[in-house]
Amino acid sequence: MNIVKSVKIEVILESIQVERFIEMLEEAGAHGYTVFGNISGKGQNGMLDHNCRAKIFSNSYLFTVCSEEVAQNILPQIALFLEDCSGTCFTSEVNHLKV
Amino acid sequence: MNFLFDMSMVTGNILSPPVLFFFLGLIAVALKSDLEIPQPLPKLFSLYLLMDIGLHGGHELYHSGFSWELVTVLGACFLMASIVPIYSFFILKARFGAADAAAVAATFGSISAVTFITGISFLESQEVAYKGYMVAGMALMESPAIIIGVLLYNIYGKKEQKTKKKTNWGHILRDAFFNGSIMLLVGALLIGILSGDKGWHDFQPFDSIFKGMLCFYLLDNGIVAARRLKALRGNLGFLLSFSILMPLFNAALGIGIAYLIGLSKGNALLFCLLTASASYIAVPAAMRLAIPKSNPAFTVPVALGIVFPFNVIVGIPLYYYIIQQIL
Repeated sequence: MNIVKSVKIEVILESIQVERFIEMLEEAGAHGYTVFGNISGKGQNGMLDHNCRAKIFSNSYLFTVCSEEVAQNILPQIALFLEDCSGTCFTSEVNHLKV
Repeated sequence: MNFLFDMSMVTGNILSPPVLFFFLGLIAVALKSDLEIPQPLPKLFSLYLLMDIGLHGGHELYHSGFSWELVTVLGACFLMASIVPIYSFFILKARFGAADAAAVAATFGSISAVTFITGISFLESQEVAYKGYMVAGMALMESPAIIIGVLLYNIYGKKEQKTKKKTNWGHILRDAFFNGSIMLLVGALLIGILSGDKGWHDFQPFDSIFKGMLCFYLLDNGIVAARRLKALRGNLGFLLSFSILMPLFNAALGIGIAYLIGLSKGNALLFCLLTASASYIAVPAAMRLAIPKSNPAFTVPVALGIVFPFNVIVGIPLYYYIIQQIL
C-alpha cells in the first residue's frame, strides 16, 4: 500500500467559468480533477442558484489532488482567476492512496 | 386613422394560454408554491422552440429562395443590433459603471427568441401572415450586440480595470458566433432549407406540440422572472423606467425602419419585437465571461423580469396596433 502526502484543492465557482478554470488548472500542472455541477448553497454573495438555464447563476464544485510543489504553482493562478469571478478556494493536506 | 386603442387585442393576448401560464409562474412564486419544472427540462423546451422556428424558417426559405427583401431585412436587423447597444450604453453609464452599462446595453441590443415566438403565436391567433425568414434576422442579431458591448467596455471601462488583462477576442468571438442558441437556430434553418418539403412533412408531428411547449416554457419563465426581480431592489426605479422606455423607443425605431423598407404588417411586428426585446440567456452569459466585472444580477432580472413580461403582455398588442395604423 502506497500512501502519499498530497494537497487537496477545492474550489466553488460559477459554472460558466469551469471550462476556462480547467484549462488554467491543466496548464499549471494538475493532472486530474473532479467536477460536481449544479450545486446550491449559500456563500458571501447570498443564495447560490441551481435553477438557471444560462448557467449564469449556477455554481460548480471542483477539486484536484496534487503534490505540494504543483499546489504552490497552481494556487497563485487560482487567486488571480478568482479576482475576476465569484468563487472560493480551500486547501487541505490529505493522504492519497496510490494504487 | 382610428386612434382608439382596441383593448380586445390586449385582452385577447393576455388571455392566450402561453401568457396565462407566464402569469401562473409569477403567481406561484408570489404564493410561495413549490411549483417548479425540474432541470434540465426548461433547457429542452428552449432548444425545441429554437429548433422548430429554425426549421419553419428554413422550409419557407426553401420555397421563397433568397431575395433582396431578405437581404434588406438582414441589413436592418444588423443595423439595429449594432446601434441599440451604443445609445443604451451611454444612458446606462450615467447611473452605472462601464462594466454593468456595457452588459445591460448588450442584452438590449440582442434579442429574446421567446418574445419573437410569442409574437408568432399572436400573429397566428390574429390570422396575420408573416415570413419565416425573419428567423434569419433573429439569428443575426445576437453576435453584433455582444461584440459592441465588449468594445464599449474596452474603450470606456479601462479605469475600472484593476489589472490590465488582455481581452481574449478568440473566446469572445466564439461565444458571440457559436453559442448554443445561434448554432441550433442557424443549423435548423439550414436543415429546413436542405430537407425541403419532405423534411418539413416528417417533422409535422413534432411541430404540432409547439403551443404546449411554449406554455411550459413560459410557465418556467414566470417562475424564474419572479425570483429574479427580487435582485433589483435599490435600483428598481431607474431600471424599471429604463426597461419600459427603452423597448418603447426601440420599437418606435423598428416600426419606422419597417415602414421605410416596406415590410408587411406581420413581418413589421416580428422585426419590431426583435428590436424591442432583450436577451436573458445567451448574452448575459457571454458578457459575464467577456466582462467579469459586470454583475449578472442586473442583466438577467432586467431582461427577463421587466422587458420580457412588458413586451409579451403590453408590447405585442400595442406595437401591432401602431403598425396597423401606420403600414
